[in-house]
Amino acid sequence: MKHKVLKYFLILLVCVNITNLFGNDSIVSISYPKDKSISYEDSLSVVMDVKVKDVDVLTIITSKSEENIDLKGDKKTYCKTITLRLGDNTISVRAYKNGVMVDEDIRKIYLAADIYKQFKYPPKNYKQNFFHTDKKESKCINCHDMTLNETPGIAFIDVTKSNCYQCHNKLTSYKYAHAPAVNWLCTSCHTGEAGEDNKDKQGLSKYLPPLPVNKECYRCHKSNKKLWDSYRYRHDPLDSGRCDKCHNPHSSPYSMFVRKPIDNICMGCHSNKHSIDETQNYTIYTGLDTSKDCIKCHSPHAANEAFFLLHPENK
Amino acid sequence: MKKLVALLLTVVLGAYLFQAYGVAEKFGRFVVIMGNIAYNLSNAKHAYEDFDFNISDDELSEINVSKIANEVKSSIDKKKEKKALPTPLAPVEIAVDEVREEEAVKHLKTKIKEEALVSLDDLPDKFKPLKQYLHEPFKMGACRICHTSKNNKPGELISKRMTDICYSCHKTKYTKEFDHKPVKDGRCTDCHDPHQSNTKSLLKSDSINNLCMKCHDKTSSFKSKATKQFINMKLPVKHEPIEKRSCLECHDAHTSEKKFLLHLDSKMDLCLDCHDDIADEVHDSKYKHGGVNTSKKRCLECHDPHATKHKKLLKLDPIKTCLQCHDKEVKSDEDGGMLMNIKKHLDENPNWHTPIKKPEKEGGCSACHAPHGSDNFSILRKSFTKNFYDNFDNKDFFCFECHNKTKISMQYIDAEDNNVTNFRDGEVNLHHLHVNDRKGRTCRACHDEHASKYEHLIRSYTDFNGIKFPLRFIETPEGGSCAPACHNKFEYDRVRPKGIGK
Repeated sequence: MKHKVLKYFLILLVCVNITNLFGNDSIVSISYPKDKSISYEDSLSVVMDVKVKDVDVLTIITSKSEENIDLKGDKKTYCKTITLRLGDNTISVRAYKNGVMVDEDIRKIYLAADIYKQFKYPPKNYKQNFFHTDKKESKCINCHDMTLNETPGIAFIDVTKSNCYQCHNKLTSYKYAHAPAVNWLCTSCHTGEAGEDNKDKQGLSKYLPPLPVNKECYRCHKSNKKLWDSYRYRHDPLDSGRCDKCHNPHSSPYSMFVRKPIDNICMGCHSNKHSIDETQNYTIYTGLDTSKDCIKCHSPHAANEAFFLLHPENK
Repeated sequence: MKKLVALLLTVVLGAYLFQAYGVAEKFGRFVVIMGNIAYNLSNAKHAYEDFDFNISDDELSEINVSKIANEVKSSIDKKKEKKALPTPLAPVEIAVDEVREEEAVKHLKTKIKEEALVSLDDLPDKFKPLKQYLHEPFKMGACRICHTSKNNKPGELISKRMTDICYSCHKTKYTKEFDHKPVKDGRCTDCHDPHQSNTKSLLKSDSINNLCMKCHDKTSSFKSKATKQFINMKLPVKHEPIEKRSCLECHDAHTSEKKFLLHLDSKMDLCLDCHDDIADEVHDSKYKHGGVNTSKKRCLECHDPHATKHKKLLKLDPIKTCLQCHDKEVKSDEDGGMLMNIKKHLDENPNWHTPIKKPEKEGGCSACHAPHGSDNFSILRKSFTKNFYDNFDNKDFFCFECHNKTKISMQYIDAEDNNVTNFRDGEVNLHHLHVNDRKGRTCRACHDEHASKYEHLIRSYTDFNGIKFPLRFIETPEGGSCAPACHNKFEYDRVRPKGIGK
């Protein structure tokens, strides 16, 4: 009896090994990210394993761009930071030899956004994957210094010296950059500890930010907390502590680090309000030019008046 | 029938009781009293206030009955004790060593035998009474009080021990906790002349201070120099009593309960007895300096009570005095936080704020900090903001005591005018740009008030909510650039403006 079990076991082992051999045979394979992952930031690093001997040209094609990657001698692993668009993204890496495509690897990534109803809930079989674990980092050690070289509480004089900067610099490339992010004090928010909202993610990444994130925000923005707490009505994202829903804590092309132009953000949730007739009505009532910004009349955070109105006399 | 009997019985019993207890009388009195009360209430001269007698649960819990009872008992006990006290004390004989109040010595001629008196005119020239103050026996010619009449040794004293002679008339014994060495050794004549002197108290010198300095001056060449407590009279700055008044303002010449023969506690009380303006600062200010408030030597941590080289009788120069303690991180009396190591900070950063650079002229640390205590934080002499953001418009901040306020108030400055500020982009005053509105930034955001590695006291790091952000300031001949946490890298140029603030 025992012998039989052992025999089956051995056969199983051999089979697994053989399939592995076949699996590794591909010329180009994307080792990160996994297929069907969710991203919440619009920049993403892609890591590829390449058999350099069989490849002349390596191209990475995303929904937004197409770029060639320089190949060097016997380097096997390459990485590239790409930008994503909202919703579905297809990333394909193609290897060419003598003008003929020899291999291709494809990943489907979903860029989710809390402020848009249509992008808030990714398809069911998609998962959020994290990169910064010891096992995954070990792959990059040859080229990148993966240690944390930041002194807590003291910013870099030369930010390019930060080890995080090397890979993540696209995060802060927009015009309006948040001070802790642009000074690469990453661990002031990315503490590695999960908050109440992401308890299930505890331990998945070394640099997990706690959600809700407001505790980290209020460590600096103390006076704001004091002010908002004193008001009667508070906007839901504020009350639930998700400052990051509207504000990008790294950088943004829009003032106050909002993720999109203000009206777009508001309409993301309040899409029923997006009718010209209604705003025109408001204009008639209030005499204010409401065609520009919602926040001209409404406070985006908190107010003592119903509907978060800033000018109660124009009710 | 039964009912009738019961009724009868109750009537009889009631009548008996009515009679027995004098109910009628009591009722009459009750009516009178109630009538009086009613009359007083209606015709009372003062209105009765409504008192709130409802005690809340919290208050009730605070009232500790047993504690109150104890207090009452103790007060009664005290009263009993007081009553028991005044038993007349038995007259106690005063011991020889005990201190007595100074007694005025009375010399009565009748007490001294007339034959013993010497006429002063008979004395040799050497002993003629030529000075202002004369010792009473000497004046009377009663030499015999001190000297023997043996002919072979004229002028010999009646006893070899000086104390026996002096204390026979001067009953005051000088023995307290601390004694002056000559007093202890019985060398009265070290200071006092037994015959005559031009100074009061028959001193052997023309003034009290000179007498003291005979022994206590470090530079004196007098034989019997005191073994300790030297004062160097050659030093330029002296305490006023030493120069103009008397050493006895602080010290007792003979004996004292306090160390160094002082009148009061030497560390602070004695000093503040005269320096009452400082006393207010030390005791009443909101923020106190640990140096005087909680230190070991109090005033003497920084000041020498006699003479020094430095102004204000400081032991060391104005900067070094402070760095005695502030050469390490010191716990603040103000909020319990740690104060920075200023010595290290000054050593590491070569560009110093002018008061620190020129302490003799500008006043050193005490130009900005009140060393005895102040009502402003960090014992500053005048108010400043603790916040990163503040409105500069109507506030009289300390910096503008020395620095011209136009530096921040002028929005535009003429291109050639370099006197106001060099921190401008063309005509735009960048100081004004940084501090003009409700969210004006404190001066300390960019400038280090003590010392810096960079010119213009520009900080290396600015502290924003506990995070240190570098300013990344680079100066060029006509301008410069800055890339702090607040904004991206901005360049400014006085000659070729980069367009900041437009």
